[in-house]
Parts: sequence; structure tokens; C-alpha cells
Amino acid sequence: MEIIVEGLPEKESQGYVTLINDIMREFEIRRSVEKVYFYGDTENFVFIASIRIKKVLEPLRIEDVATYNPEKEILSVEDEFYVPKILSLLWSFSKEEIEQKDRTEIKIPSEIFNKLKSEIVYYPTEDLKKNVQEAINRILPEAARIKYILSAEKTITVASSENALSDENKKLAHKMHERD
Amino acid sequence: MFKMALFEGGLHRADELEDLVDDLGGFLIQKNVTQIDITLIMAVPGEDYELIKEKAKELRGKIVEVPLAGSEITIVSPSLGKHHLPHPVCDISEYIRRNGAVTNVMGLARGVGQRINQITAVEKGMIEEADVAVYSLGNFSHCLEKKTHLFMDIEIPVVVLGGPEKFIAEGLDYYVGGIGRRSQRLRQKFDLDIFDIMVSEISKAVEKRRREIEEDPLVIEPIYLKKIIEENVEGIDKIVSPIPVVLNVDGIKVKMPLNQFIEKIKNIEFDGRKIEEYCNIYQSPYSGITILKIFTKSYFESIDKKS
Repeated sequence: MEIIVEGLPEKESQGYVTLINDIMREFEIRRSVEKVYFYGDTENFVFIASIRIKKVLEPLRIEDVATYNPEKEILSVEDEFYVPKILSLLWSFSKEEIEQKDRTEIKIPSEIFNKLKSEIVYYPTEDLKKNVQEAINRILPEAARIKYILSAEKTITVASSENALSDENKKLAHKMHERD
Repeated sequence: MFKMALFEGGLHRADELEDLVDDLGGFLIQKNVTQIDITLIMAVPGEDYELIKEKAKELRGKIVEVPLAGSEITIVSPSLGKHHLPHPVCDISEYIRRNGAVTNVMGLARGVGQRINQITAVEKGMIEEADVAVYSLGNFSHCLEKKTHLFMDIEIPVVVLGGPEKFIAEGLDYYVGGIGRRSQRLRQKFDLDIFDIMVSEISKAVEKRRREIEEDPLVIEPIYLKKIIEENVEGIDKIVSPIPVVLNVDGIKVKMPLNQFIEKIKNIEFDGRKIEEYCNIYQSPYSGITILKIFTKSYFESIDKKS
């Protein structure tokens, strides 16, 4: 993960690099983020943060996160994280015949499984983007409540200030959003 | 001259240390029992400090001198948002407590930003109830310049903490750089080094306040008043607060409503006079606790002559 801080004096830039690093660690998104740009203009109180994620991950289907045993009619979920999501999906279809046998094992008839195996249980990129948005909110100063948000497939950029954002600031945000 | 010390050790036989402090003419300022551990903050006569150290060693506890014991410090954060809490404000507070002071953490309602930041009269009043105020501000020197009005009118000594290494403002005597906005615990070696500098600056601020008081000394030492109150006021031991009686440099605070307290001290006398003759007793308009501000000798003598 690369962190680029611009517009601030050297010492203050170093402090902000440490702060951004700590925030990324706190949100556990360091490995998913490619670049973080931060621009600060303390005179006019304008701050822009832009985060680019590494790659867009495909949505996960039931068959991607669990293995089905047709003889026992048991669906074994690989990670406990997906169990509530799968159960909620299955129970929205039918509450009968679907039973959680163990923490990660669900009893489900073959015909229902075959019908639902391609259903999406989790959108990793959506989740990551939510975390990225939260991280940006934490990076930006608390008083900078007026926000101009730009969102693309791999990049989220937020320009913020305590005053109204000028067209110039918005243009700068666009420039940072489209930067390599 | 008293030396302030902090003892950390086991609960077993800790009463022996308390008795020794009492026998030597010292005072127990604070006592916290956590399961089988005990923390004692005490004032010990300087010449007998070695005896206390030996006793602490015998009890296999740790004893350190704490420069801030006997003072109450308020740590002021620009807000109570996640940008400022728990790091670094709580880490600062913890380190100050480890140096013997009683700390309060306070978040301003509108302390953030450059243009929009402000402080209310109520907030100022709450801050001034302590002995020293420590402001934990951000990383940008330009923002610090715009926030000077948050601490300029405060009537107690102020220590400002911020990101920039240097910050000069008119009327600001104590500044410590290197502690700006942080999002991780401050427990690295360089953080602790900065904290040590911070404690030395706060000690200077407390000392300044004590020197101001010494120019016209108090009629009774706060530490004596605390002992009289603790020994004679009924129900002090039943107060749920971890520190029922807080020691200040110019008085004490009792965590009891004024009407109850006044009733209980009616018959307490010290040196032939009632407690209310030694100090101004009033209720805090903010927290509802009772505050006792000890009269200075000159004021005491002037009211004595009148009567």
C-alpha cells in the first residue's frame, strides 16, 4: 500500500502518513488497498482523500463458500463468517427441511440446494468499499463535514471542508480521482 | 517536605504499609483495590522515604515517586468523536494518572475545525474546576493557531499538546509537540519519551499554581483538610465513586451533594473552629459535588479581625 500526502509541510505530512497507516490497519484494509492519496490545504481548510482498491472481487455464491454432501444432504460451510448469510438466504426460500445441524453444517435437501447453489451470498467488494468509505471519514478532519464524494469501480474520492467547496476544489478532487 | 509516592503491589499485608505511612506522619491520598492488587498514592515525609521504599521492597511491590500527586487535571479534547478518542486522549489520561494525578476527560461540544470551533462559558467553568488543563489538539500548526481562543481565557495553567514540534502563542507557557491526532495506542518508546516530557511540563504548570498559592499561603493544607473530612464525615466510605475525596492544590472536592455535606460537618471542629470557618464551601454548578476552597491566611485574618 502506497500513501502519498501532498499540500502539507514535511513534518505534518509524515504525521499524516502514520495516521493513515494506523487507520488502514484498524479497518483491516491495508492488503486490499493499492494507493491512498491525501491532499491538505490547511489555510482554506480543504482536504481530499482518495483510495484506490487493488482489484474488484467477484461476488461469492453458495457453491463458492461451501461444499455439499448429496448422500448426507449436508452443506458444510468453509468459514463461519458466511453461515448467517447462507442461512438467511436459505430461510428466505423455505424454513422447513432446512436445519442448522452444527456451527458450520446445514441440513438441506438436494433439490433445494441445486436450485439455490448459484445464489450470491456475499459481495466482497461492496463490503470493502463500505470500509474504505469509513476509513476516509476517519482520515478527514472531523470538522470537514461538507463533502463531495466521487465513486468509481476501484476508486473512492472525498473532498471535504467546513466551508462550501469551490469549483476549483471539485476539479482537484476529480483530478485526484482519475490519477494513476 | 513531603514526597509523593505511588505503590503498586498485592493486597496481602498492604495495610502494614498504610500503618507505616500513618506512623511516620504521612498521608494516604488515594487507595484503589482491584481484586488482589492495590494501588496507593501517599505523601511521605522526605527524610523517611527510604523506610517506605524498604517496606515496599519487603512487600514485593513497586514504589515510584509521582510528581503530580495531589493535583486534579482535566484533559480537554476538541470533541468526543472517534477522531480524538480513545487515542490519544485516553492514553494521555492514563499516563497522567500513573504519575499520581486525578484526571477528568472532557470533550468540547464544538471544539473542532478552524472557523467553527468555539468554547462555551459552561465548558470554561468546568475546566477551571481542576488545577491544570491539558488540551489535546491536532496535527496542523495552522489549525492550532486558529484554536488559541479555546484556552487563552482559562484561568488555570494550560498545557497544550499537538502534532507540530513547536508552537508559539501569546500567553501559552507550556506546549508539547509530537502528540497530534493518533489512531493507535501510544505505547512505543518514542511515545513514552514524549509522555515523559508532557509530565514534566504538567509538573511545571502544577508547580506554578502552587507557587501562586504560596505567595499568600492557605490557612490549612488541603491534605490535612482531606484527612479531617475523611476521619469525621459520616458516609464518606459509602460513596460509590472510586475517589470520594479529590485533593486539589487549593482545596478539596467531596463527591457528596452540598446539603448532605453541610449537615454532616456541622459538629466537626478543628483547632477550636468549625470547618466552614476555614474554607468557602459551595456546590459545583456542573457536577453537583461539593467544593471546599480553603481561605488564604490574609483573607482568614481579615475576617477574623472583623468578627
